[in-house]
Amino acid sequence: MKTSRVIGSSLRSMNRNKLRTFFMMLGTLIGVTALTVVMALGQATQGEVLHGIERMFSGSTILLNAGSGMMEGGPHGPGPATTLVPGDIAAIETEIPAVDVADRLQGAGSREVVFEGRVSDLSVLGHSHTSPEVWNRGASRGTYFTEDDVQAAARVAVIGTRVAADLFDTDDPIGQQIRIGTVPFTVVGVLEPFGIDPHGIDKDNEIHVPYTTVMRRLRNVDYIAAAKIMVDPRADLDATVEAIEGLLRERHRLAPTEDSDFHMITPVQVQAMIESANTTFGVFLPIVALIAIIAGGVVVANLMLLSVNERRHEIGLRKAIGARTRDVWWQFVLEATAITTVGGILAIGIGVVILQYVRLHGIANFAFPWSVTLIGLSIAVVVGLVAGALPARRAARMDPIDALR
Amino acid sequence: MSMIDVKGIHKHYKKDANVVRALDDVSLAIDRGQFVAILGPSGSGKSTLLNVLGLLDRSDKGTYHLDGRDVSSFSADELAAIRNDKVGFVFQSFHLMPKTPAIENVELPLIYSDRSDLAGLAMKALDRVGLADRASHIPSELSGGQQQRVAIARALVNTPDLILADEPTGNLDSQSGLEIMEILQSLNGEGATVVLVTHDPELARMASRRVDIVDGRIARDEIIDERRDARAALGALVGA
Repeated sequence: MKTSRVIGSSLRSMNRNKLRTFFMMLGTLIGVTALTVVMALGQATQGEVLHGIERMFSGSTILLNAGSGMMEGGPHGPGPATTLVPGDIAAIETEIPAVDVADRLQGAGSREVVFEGRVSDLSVLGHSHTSPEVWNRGASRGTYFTEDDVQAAARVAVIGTRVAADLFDTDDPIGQQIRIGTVPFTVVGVLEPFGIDPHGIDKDNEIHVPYTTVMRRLRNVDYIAAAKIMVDPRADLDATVEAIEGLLRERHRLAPTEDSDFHMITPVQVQAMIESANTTFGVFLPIVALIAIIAGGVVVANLMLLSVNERRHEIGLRKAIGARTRDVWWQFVLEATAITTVGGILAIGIGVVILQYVRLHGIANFAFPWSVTLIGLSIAVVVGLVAGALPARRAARMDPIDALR
Repeated sequence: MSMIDVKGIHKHYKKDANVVRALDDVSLAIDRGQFVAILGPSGSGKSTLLNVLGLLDRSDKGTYHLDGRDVSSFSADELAAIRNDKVGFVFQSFHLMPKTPAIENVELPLIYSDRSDLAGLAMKALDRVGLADRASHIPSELSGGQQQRVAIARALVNTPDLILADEPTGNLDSQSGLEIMEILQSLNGEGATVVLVTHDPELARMASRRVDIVDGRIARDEIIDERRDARAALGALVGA
């Protein structure tokens, strides 16, 4: 009864002193807005990164790379590893029963790509016809290239959606002739959109051609860079890794004392990548946001202390006419809490507006982080209680005679 | 039995290296229904005495019985409850809450009491000081005299037995001051005990008893036989 009157009275007084209330609110307003926006965008990015990792390394797959994987002779190693050849992959496919299918990979690096005078520097990647199955990414228009194209080292290309937009605008690219360097290619398909991969590379801004074409027509080499191998999910993955290692060491005639001239990335290592990404997003981002909120709390506490000084007469009067120590204490704690709570609610509103803007402009796609927002609001309330407690204590202990003087 | 009975109270302050004896062995008994004017030059200890009587300050030594109860040993919260229930304060500088309508200023003591119908009681008190039509005005929209009348309405909204006024007319022109004195006299006429601190002997003559304080001691204490009537003085002033 009494407490509710005290609350009502202080709420009216806050409403009357709008400017003071507003400045106190600003601290938590900025803090909680920062928390909401940072966490929402962080979660969206985290989702994209994890999704990308899953698409690249899902299930029972092994990424086989040429070279030992160790740095040798300086930061760039001894030059490109030339140890892996298409025959190695064919042998793995035929001799190890647990292996379903593999995609051979050889890149041509960044190449000048020309269509009717439009020039673009694009990453040109060599794949097998199995790529859609292995990477879970096929052509959204036209077709991916075929086994026959790979056999014949055909000059056919499947282009990313951004490439299609840059070179052809809205025209249909299928059947068009482009040049990669000096070599003419026919566009047969457009890749399904993917987005940014975990390394920050735009996978929609690249061109896929048969790996054989990269080897013979673009680079004139007889080796490949890597292969992605799909393993029967029911098979023992560790045993399969060992089998591949044994087979390749035998084919490469390595002595038992020699290191392998290839290395494999398995789902176990991918799991470690995911965990490291989760650590970044799950620990680092909340810390940043928390600092913003604590800074807001310090602002509230400071302004509250100033306000207690400025309102000495009011405090003295309230005590003279019968306010008990705890009545005054509650008044100031409630004011601080009400301010931070309202600031938190306003911050959610501002956060919604900012995030809606971000979403409408296609900068990032995400679900609105209500859980984060509610956590931010509860933190704001707690900050108000803590930030109000010290000034409230000072107010409550004020001697009414001194305060009235 | 006297309503207020203080015996042998002392109050010393340390100011720089000196000890200021604000109250030095003061004994005073005030009966219910009296109108006591406390006179003295500034620094004489008259405000300190009022603060002790109003339970805002404690004496270093001596006893204080209010309505027969020894309040010297009461806790701060118990004293707050007594102030809320029995005492109404009027200050020289009004101490109204800024930007707050008169009626809410008057309601303030009720917030800390158990009474209901806050607005009704506050309106009654405002009506008592002739400001019912100013209930929704904020202090900056009122004259000094009106502000002090709002403060008096706040002091009497809890129907206290004791009204303590510390130089209530000090910031007012003589007409507004007389209006305040008229209200205090009529409250006293209705049975309230009033203690008024002033340095103006003319105003003191409107009380029923005059106590002079010099250097923390009671120098003179007498009943006023020919009491001045504030209403008559006001009429004379307005007439002239």
